[in-house]
Amino acid sequence: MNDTAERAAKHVGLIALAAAVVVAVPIGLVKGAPTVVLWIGFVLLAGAVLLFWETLQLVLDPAQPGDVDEGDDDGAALAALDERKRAALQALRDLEFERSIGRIGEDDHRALEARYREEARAAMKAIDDGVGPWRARAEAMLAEADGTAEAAPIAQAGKSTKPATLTKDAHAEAKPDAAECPKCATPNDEDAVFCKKCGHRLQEEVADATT
Amino acid sequence: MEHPSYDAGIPAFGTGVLYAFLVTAAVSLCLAVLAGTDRAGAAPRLLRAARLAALGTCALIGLDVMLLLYGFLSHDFRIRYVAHYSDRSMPLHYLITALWGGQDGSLLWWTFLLSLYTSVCVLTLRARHKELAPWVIATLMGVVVFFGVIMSWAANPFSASFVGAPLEGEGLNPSLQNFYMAIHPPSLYVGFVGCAVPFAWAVAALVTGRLGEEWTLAARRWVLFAWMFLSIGNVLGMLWAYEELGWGGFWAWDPVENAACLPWWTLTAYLHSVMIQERRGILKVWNVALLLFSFFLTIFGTFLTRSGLISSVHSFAQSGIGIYFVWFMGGLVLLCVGLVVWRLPLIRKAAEIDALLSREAMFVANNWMLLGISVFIALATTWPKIAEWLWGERLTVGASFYNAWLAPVAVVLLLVMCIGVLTPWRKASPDLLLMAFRGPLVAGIAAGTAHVVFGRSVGLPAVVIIPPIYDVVTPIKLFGATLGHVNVGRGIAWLDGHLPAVATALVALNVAALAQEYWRGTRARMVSKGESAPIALTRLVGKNRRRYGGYLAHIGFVVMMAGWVGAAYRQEAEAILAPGESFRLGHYTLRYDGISFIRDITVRQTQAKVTVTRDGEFFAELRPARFSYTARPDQPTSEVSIASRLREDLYITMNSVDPTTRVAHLKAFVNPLTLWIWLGAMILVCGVIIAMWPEASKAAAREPRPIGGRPKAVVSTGKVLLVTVLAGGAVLLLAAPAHAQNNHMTSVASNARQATPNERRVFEQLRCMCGDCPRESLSTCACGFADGQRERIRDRLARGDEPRTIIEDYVARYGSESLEVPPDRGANKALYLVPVAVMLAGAGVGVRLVRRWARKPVPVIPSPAATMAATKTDDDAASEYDARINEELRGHDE
Repeated sequence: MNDTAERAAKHVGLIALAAAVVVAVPIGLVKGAPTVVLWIGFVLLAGAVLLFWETLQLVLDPAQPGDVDEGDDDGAALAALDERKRAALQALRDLEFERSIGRIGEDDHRALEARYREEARAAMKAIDDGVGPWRARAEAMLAEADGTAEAAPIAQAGKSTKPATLTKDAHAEAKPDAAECPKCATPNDEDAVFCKKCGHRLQEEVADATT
Repeated sequence: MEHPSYDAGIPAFGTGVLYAFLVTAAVSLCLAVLAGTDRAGAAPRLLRAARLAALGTCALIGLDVMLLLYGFLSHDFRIRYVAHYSDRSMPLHYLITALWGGQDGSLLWWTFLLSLYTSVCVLTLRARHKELAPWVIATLMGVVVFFGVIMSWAANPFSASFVGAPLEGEGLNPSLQNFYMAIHPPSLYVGFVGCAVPFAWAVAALVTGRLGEEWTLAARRWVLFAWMFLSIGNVLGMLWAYEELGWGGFWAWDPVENAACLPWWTLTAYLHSVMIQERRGILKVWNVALLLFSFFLTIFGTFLTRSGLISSVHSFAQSGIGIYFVWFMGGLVLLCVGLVVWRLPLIRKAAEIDALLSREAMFVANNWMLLGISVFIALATTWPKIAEWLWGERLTVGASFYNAWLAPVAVVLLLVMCIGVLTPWRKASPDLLLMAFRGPLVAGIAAGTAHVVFGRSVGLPAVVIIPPIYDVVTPIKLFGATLGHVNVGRGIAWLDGHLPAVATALVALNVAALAQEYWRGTRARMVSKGESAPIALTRLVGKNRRRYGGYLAHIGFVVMMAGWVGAAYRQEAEAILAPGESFRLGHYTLRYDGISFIRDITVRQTQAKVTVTRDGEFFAELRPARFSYTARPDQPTSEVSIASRLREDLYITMNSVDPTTRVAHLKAFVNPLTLWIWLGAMILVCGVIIAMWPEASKAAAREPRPIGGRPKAVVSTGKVLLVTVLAGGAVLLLAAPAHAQNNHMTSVASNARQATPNERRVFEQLRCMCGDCPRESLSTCACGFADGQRERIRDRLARGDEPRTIIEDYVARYGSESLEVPPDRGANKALYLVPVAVMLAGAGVGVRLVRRWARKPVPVIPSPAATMAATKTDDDAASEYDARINEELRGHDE
């Protein structure tokens, strides 16, 4: 619900902005530059008032929803592991590049590649181990939700326990052979790489499910 | 129309909006801090409130700017600022530029740019970076609060005068009414203010303790953007000085110029050291500190421009706002040092790099050099104040000091640069590295030798005699015994004199190394993918934008360096001529043909026609002029005329002309390689744009992103287009007609003869003390006072007086600040000893650090078969991970 409202609000903002710019042109032609400046100022003032009104509501009313969390926040430990994995992958890419332009010898390359592959493997394993419990919990909750056929709040992998802000349309459209996104429970195609709703990466999960 | 009160309408409303945005910024700041420290789950709501309040604050600031602009456009002279800086005759575009022409308006302009940056940051932030976002917003709003406070208390741009509106405004200073004044401050400001966003990210990283990749990735494009505009702004400043100020040069090491370039050096250091962090996860706190320091330097630079602390051609009026800046800077220092010290223990991982001979180590060297340069410039800039506070001596540190000491440093920087480019990441195989050096080394030696052999014949001799900046013999004492003597001044002068050929060699080395890098990458692609050369090159750059964009920026910088070296060969001549007479300079014969008058409502132009022939052939027709503005008839200005060629610029000004006899005083310069500076700058900007260009949306696999999260938002195409347009505007600079302003000229023809080397040696060491000009030396200043002094000194030299005595008498008469460079005596030795000591210490620290980081040597795995066997003995999980690794790597390489 919040999603559509926010999208509409964003579009309204853009439309209003475009209208303001368009109106500025005839104003400028008829009344001259100073009036255009005043018009822009007025638009800004209106925008400011609207924004502060919204701010006031957010501050005073605890029931107002905050921002939709678009990024996953699996905690510092996982982020650190992810960083190590990415650093190792970057190292492997660098190595490959340096070798392709002939700046690193074969022996050095082999040795360093082995080392960085080891680092990448270790980091990925640690990540999988870390994420495992959350995934299991999400799957359990999904199963529960499917069983009762009601909108079940899905806790985001992480720390917060506030209600999710996702629709339950996904459940109604569930197909028997679809892969469900562990994050938002939207059914996706079996071979989908990313969830079509929230963008969560599904590929690794699918791979895990088959091994 | 009668106004009910002296400030009703725009002045009062504008002031009201000023107070309003100060309050709303404070509110947003509080909300953001609450969101950041919240434990009760209200954080998302409060964060959203903080974001919207920040956007609202930005809208109010925009409104305030519109109101002030309206005041200018409607000629509301009740507003003091409008009355002071505009008049009814000014065209629209200069009315707009008058917005930032003065103190108060420029503060509002600073805040406005900050609000633009904040809005873009807040809008692109949306709901990501949940932990960091509150603190980013809080920091940005904090800076807004600071500027709001200054303006509300001490520098209100809307303040109205009690006595009512004057009938006509004073008009903008004619020297500010030109193309460059329209674009130099805004572009420099965009760079300056741009440092605030990375600063906010750095503070957020420190406060939350999340010092990892998240914040560096988020901040990366902001840093590149700010750096690009710092580069553009500084180069525009150089162009402005060259084409407008008319003293023949482009960089006077003016305190404000120095303050504007200091953040550039620290940001450049950051751009390099952050790449080490991305690869090894080390130097986290160092990188944070660099960004904090860069922002501090921008505030310091803003302060220097306004407080009149150190006299400069840029100083706005001395005003009372300096003290606000001092408090703010003090607070900044406390905050930054406190945060850094608090988070220092977070670095748990032992720092490791693979080898001493690696790009990681070279970047440490890079940071060492750039920080050393910053320390040097910062110390020399503030030295006059330090000397005055500590031991009450008034001193000047003139351009010759900087030029003398920085020349060897620049050459070392060139050397470090080329080694860094050729050294690969992780580990360099020494034999391969030497092989890579071969080509560039040949190019470098060839260029250097060519310079030595042919230099003199093209007017750019390889060895130049440079007058020493001081001539004091210092005994080296150790435990009371005198070991020897050293003459630092002569030593440096000797070194500088022998550097040109070395610099040429290094420039060629660098360019060859960079070209070789492009070639090697292209050829690798041609071989492995079978692509043709142009396609391979395009794809290569497209896939490695940071690397190859960075290389291009390096090429640009090196070309600029070549231009700076050329400046050492500047020649000048001046003459007083009647129409028809001519004088010679280098290969050129300049014949003064006469003057013509052009008049319009704003300005009266007296334009001279000078026909220039080179070795007998027609070369160019130049038209130096004198402008007299109707609004300020007592401040005539000189307009420069320049003929730019790749090899050298021919630059002419007319210092004065007698309208009746038509006798004109002309001064001409030959400036070799100056065009290279502007060309190099454009190449630099192109390189940065390539490095900044957003990856295609297919980059899901390429761009690192947090676990499970969506790919990072890419910089919008609109923003990049804007950047391209603005950068493209820099190209227009070369097409702009050249004008020069030199306000303190008088109409009295000055005694003009080309100074003999002896005379010049004395003139260059003494400053003109007329009080009007900005610290020009007697050799360049053309005012009446300088004329008189030069005449007196010439007489004394003719009588046989020693130059040293003459200088001492001059100093005795006008004070120690009349010396261009502080004498090499006593405490003033610290001026060069401290930076040298810092650089030596830094080198020691750097080497120790790198050695500690380098791991034990990697064991060499004997053969592929053994490696395969080793992998096979791992369990299946390992090979599955290998498959995943390969897939991720493949995803990048397409």
